[in-house]
Amino acid sequence: MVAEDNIHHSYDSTEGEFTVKATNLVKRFGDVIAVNNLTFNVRKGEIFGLLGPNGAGKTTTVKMILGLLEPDEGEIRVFDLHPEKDEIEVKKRVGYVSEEPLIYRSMTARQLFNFVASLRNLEPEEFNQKLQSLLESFEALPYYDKIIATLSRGNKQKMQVIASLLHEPDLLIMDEPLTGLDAKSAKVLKEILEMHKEKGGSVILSTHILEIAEELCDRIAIIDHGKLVALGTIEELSHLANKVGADLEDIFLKLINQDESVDIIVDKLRKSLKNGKNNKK
Amino acid sequence: MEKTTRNRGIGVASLISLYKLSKRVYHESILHSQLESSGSNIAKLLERIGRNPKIISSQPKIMKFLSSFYILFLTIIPVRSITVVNFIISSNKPSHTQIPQQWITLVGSMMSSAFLLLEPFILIIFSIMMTWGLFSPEIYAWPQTLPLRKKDVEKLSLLTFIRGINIQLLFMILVFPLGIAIGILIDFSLYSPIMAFLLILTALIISIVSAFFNLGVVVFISKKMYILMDEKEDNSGKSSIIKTTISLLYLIFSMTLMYIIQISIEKIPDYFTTVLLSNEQSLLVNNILSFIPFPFSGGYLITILITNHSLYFSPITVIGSITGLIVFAILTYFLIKHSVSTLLNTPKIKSDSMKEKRNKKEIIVQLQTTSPLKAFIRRDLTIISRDMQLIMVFVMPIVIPIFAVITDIEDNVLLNEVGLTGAFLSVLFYIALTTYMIITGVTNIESGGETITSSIPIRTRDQVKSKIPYFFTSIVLAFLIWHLFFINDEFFSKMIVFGLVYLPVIPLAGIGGLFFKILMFGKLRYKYVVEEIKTEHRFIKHISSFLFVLLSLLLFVGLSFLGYGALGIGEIVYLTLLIVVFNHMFPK
Repeated sequence: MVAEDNIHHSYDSTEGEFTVKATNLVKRFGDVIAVNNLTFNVRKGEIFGLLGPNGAGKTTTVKMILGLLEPDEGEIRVFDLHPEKDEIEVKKRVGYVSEEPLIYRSMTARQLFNFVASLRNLEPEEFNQKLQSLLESFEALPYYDKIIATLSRGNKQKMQVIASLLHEPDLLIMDEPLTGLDAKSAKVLKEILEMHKEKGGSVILSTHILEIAEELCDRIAIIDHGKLVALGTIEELSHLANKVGADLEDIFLKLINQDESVDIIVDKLRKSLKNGKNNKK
Repeated sequence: MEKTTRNRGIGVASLISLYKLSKRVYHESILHSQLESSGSNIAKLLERIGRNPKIISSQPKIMKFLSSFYILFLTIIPVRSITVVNFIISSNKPSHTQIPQQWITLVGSMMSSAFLLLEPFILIIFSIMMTWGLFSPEIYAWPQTLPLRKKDVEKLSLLTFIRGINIQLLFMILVFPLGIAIGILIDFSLYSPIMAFLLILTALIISIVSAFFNLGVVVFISKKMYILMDEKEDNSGKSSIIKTTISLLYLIFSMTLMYIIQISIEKIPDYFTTVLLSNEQSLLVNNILSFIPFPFSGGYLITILITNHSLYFSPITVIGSITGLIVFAILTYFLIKHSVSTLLNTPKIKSDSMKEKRNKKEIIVQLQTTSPLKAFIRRDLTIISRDMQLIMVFVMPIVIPIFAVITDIEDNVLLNEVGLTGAFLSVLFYIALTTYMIITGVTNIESGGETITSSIPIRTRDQVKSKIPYFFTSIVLAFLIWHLFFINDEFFSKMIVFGLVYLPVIPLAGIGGLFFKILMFGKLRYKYVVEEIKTEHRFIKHISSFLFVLLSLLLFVGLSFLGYGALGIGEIVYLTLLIVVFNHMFPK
């Protein structure tokens, strides 16, 4: 449990051009407060990390940004639009990769992309080349005519990623996008995210894999129990955690007050493993 | 390595510990097949499993219970076999021998044989959908990572299959002797203790052999079914058609058989008095049939013992039934040997070898776009054609009212106008039920692709429009087909006129039900969505949506009492309301 006084200061600001503005977001599911008074902004041309342990409220936040969930309190603006009221306009400019690839299992990848292109009103002449290139980059071309149900977790993820990139969105919302991807495809996706940023696009990257956040994100919001614990660049976060020069893992554990409990667990584990070895002898 | 595992007691796992382990493998296979067959419901299934993991095992438990219950229900046959045969013998006085002795033997044997024949069918109906998945080598991937010997993994596949039908096997072994025992108790004065013991022992032997035979049959059919259904890698239309046809045939076969079982149990006593063959002809038939190992030899042997010397049996019939039973046991032995070998080999089969054989075709990436409405319709049709549960949703509306009317005809409830009105109301109930099945089926398609649809600029209006045509398909057809059963009825002309005027109500109520369900489950702050978002009080919402459909249908029945004109006006008003509601809920 994170105590109220454990919330750290953040380095967020209201300056610059924003893609997403979230103010005092609250989302409850029955008695559970999934997101608690969350405020952050995502700038244009940045990769913004949403970091937190499992169940921290990252996916709920992402769904509110997409207009899939209504916040109980607070406000969200995406491209200065209301994601629920102006859903169509927002979604035209957003690409989304969910944590669990729930894509139509009975369709082939070809049918899926035709469906997506039809609903996004994409001109085939314009996007054929792009689709071909994405499929080749992710080595997904051999699976183009396969039924999605038959694909591995990684290949399903590739199809989901390609579907989110096809229409060249301004904002990419990626919830654990590297799950299941092989090293080569993960590298390709990281490069795509960097290129997207260079072109002025924004990325919201929700993850609990700290190395990925450290490698890719310009700024990171750390969420725990639905609350914003800290926000800033790695350097800023290290200052907040009083761990200058430490890696993100240490900073993260310190900020969510888990550093000591991890030490205790490791200590216990070491002792029990040592005992086990002695007993065997 | 061997020594280490032996010390830990895992390497040389006893059959009992392997059987315990098979529970995990069995659950894995159930989950595998549930995910495979869930089609568009996968999101809901995963959500439900997340909330309550026990649902993985609840489906096979229900199927086990149902098949065991049906097998137990079949006990009626041997019980009636004894009581009816004894009754006919005792009432068939030599002075007026209306019923030839050989005819009694023939029908009595047929009854017992029918029991033995129906058992494997019941096993197939209720178990095959749970057992064919056990031939997937994928489910043995995990046990192969455990410190188990290859031989143990092979045994595990056999034990997992047996676990899949364990309760049914037990019932199959016990039910026949139990039925005979009950029959003996009813007519206990006719049997000496030795005779009763002999009769029960014979029934037990026959049922043990039959149970193993049935096990072999289920293994054989499950394997064939797996080969046919596992062609999932193949995306050809042919593959989809084969799978769909198999599943439809399975459904029709199951329903027809259940109907036959029900009818045959009710009608069995009538066959004794309906004499079709003379004594000589019956004798010849008995002599021939008694040699046929399955299902007749066992049936004849038990009938010979039931009659307890009260009837004349030709020695050929006696020899035939004993020889046939021995042949049946030998055949069963070979069948089981083959089945065991098939099951032991399951973990060895590599499905990848099939994939490698396929020719690599050049893949041309070419997007083909269309209007959103057409895209939704195409997507739905693609998903429906490959999703067995959804196909069933569209087939059931036709099947259920037909079975309802056949049952009504059998029960002679349709002789007058009151009976017809009752039948009409019952068919309306079925129509409401199947309409609601279609509503949930077509709306569930949306949640199956949540990731895709949640980020696409979709207009709910297009989504809803794409669902409307389904309410003009099988339910409307089912309603019309139902009328055709009364073509020879004196009330037919009245019925068909009323039916045609009432016909538009069926799709209208369906569309109304669709809107109502969306209202219940998909009302967001600024719009309505087809997906079930507001899932609290789910059960009550489903019940009220179903009742909405049913009450809509009944409302028009009420209106029809005011005349066809009132019914027609009611339909126009309802349609106008639907258009208004549609434009309000799903604006352009």
